[in-house]
Amino acid sequence: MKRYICSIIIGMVVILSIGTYYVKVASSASGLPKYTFKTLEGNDKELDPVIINASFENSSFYQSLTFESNQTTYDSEKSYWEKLSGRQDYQSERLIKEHRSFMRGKDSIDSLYEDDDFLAYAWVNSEFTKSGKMEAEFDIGLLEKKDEEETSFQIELPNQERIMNTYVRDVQLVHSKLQVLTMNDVNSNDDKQMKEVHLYTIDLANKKVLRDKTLLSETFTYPNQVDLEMPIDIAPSQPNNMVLFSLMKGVNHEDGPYEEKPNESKLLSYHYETEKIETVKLPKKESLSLDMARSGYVDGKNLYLIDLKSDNYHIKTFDLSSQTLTNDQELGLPVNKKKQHFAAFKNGRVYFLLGNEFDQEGSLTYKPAQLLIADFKTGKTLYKGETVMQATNKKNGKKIGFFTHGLEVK
Amino acid sequence: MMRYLKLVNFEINRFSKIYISLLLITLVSQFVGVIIGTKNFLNGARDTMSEERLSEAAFVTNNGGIDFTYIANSLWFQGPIALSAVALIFYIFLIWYRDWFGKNTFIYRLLMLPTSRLTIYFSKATAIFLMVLGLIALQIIILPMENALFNSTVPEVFLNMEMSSSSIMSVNVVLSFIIPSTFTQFLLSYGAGLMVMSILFTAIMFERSFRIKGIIFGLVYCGITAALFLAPVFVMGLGNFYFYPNELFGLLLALGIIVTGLSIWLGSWLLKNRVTV
Repeated sequence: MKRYICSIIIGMVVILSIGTYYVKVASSASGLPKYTFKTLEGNDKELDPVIINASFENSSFYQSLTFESNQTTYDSEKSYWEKLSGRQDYQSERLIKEHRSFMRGKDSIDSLYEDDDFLAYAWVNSEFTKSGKMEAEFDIGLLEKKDEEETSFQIELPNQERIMNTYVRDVQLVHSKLQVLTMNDVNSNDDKQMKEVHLYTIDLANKKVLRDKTLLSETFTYPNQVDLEMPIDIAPSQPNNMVLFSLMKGVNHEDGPYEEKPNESKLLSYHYETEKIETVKLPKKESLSLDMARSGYVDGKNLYLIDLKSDNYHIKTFDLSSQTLTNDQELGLPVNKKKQHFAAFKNGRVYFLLGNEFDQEGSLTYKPAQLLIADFKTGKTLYKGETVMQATNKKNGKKIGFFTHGLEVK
Repeated sequence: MMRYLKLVNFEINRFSKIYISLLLITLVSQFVGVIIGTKNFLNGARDTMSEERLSEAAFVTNNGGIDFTYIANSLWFQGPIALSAVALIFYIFLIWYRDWFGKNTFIYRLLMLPTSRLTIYFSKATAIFLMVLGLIALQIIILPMENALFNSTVPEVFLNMEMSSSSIMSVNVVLSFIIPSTFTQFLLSYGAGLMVMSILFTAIMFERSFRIKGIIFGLVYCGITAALFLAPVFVMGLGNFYFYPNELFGLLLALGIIVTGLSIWLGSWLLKNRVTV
């Protein structure tokens, strides 16, 4: 027996230590601080559909975590199987569950369109050839929900030799034609830069591009700059009549910072039915600024703007077709300009999260995040709460920040 | 069974001197790393504080405190892990070749044993695998001690946070690679390790069977198995087809089992029928 002592010791030590370690890992918490919302007002049942993606971080340390149904889960604590499928937004997850075969490889929510009868998808596959030219094609998919019939095809992107990059930003099905709105960067040989918004109309039955309409084209040379952006779409895959985009013009000063030219910047809307492109006029007397519109939320009918000018946060509803303000809702939460805000609109409620407070030096402070849930029609506060940290060890977490990345509602 | 255990024990004893050295180097170097790392940080902090006339609290706000990740990223800590890994990878080859090129061509006696040659193959594989796990076990045992030493030497003002062993392992890239955070991942990682070892063993058998030509066979075999195992990943990378994560996992698991089985079968077949002394 003595001859085997070496192997026996190794074997025992291996089984005991690795075994105990994994039993301990599985049965105990990681010791990382937990965050929960302390209810200040209202019913904490309202928290159930709230998902917050955040991280717990400092200079040498980074752990991402998800806050769901008032519980913190660190990615590192998840089981292998939970980690395997990765983190997906709630809408994509539902679509994958319902139409697994159709959704294969389609993960951009902006590229999807869903109504009661159809699920449609448009994407641009592009690659650069050795000569530096782009070769691009539309990847189109259509699912008829009733009989689960899938159609998919590829067609060449028209005028692709002049395009450098193209991003699909919205897809709609209008009179059984697929409308694909893209933002394109255009090739140019000299110093000029060109950005365009295109609308491609695709005939699904005959599998061809019927029309390539340029909605907007902007040429500029450095130090001038033009940026095109879209307010956050809160219903990206639903049928929408209207789409908004903001045009920002500015100048990069030689040794100074970037400066916007507010008079040349504007907010534009495109109506899929009437095919009209219009400048959205924000009512002056309501002091709605372009900045507010850009960071607003849009659902095809309304633009929701978050106003920080009063004592409390206000959410203003701007009707896009009549171009008037239809609602002004005061939230029961005082304005804190040092904090970043996140909003979500769902279930007739507005979900409003305040967090990521920075101090004067620009570093993250560790003050609690606040969440407010209000009835959107009446403005009544249904829930109000703030994060509290429950560190397993009192010494922990004081110097490490809780940083919010996004807010989602089931 | 007894023969197999005897052979495993024999293989471990043959490597024991180097192996024990590796264990000792890891133990000493990592503890020294903890002591030197904290000393350096504290001395640096003291210097900065006296130069800039800062209080301890002000120093921490300006420069940040310290936590165990600072230690775990040092060369003192990771060096011995790398050294042990390299030594054991090297030994995958040496465990066979020392029998041929040793003092008195030991392979004669080994292959004459009245036991199946598959047993010899498995005993060598087991020995290496057990030694790898032994090093992992050592790390699991000493990390909490190092952590405790660290937490007791660093004054509380400078400490960012007291970390648990498992959070240290999940934050550090090297540690999370050798000690995955879930048991499933542990099984899969070391399963993949076994697959790679079986492929390398087979390549060695090719070389021992056909010498110079065998080196080419061995390399080709490594290429084929890698291509086979990674085929679903290539298919996805080329954009031809998208697998959902669980499908990809299933395919890789199945292919991994096939590749390992094939390698063991081919390796032991070569050892039995083709290897010449």
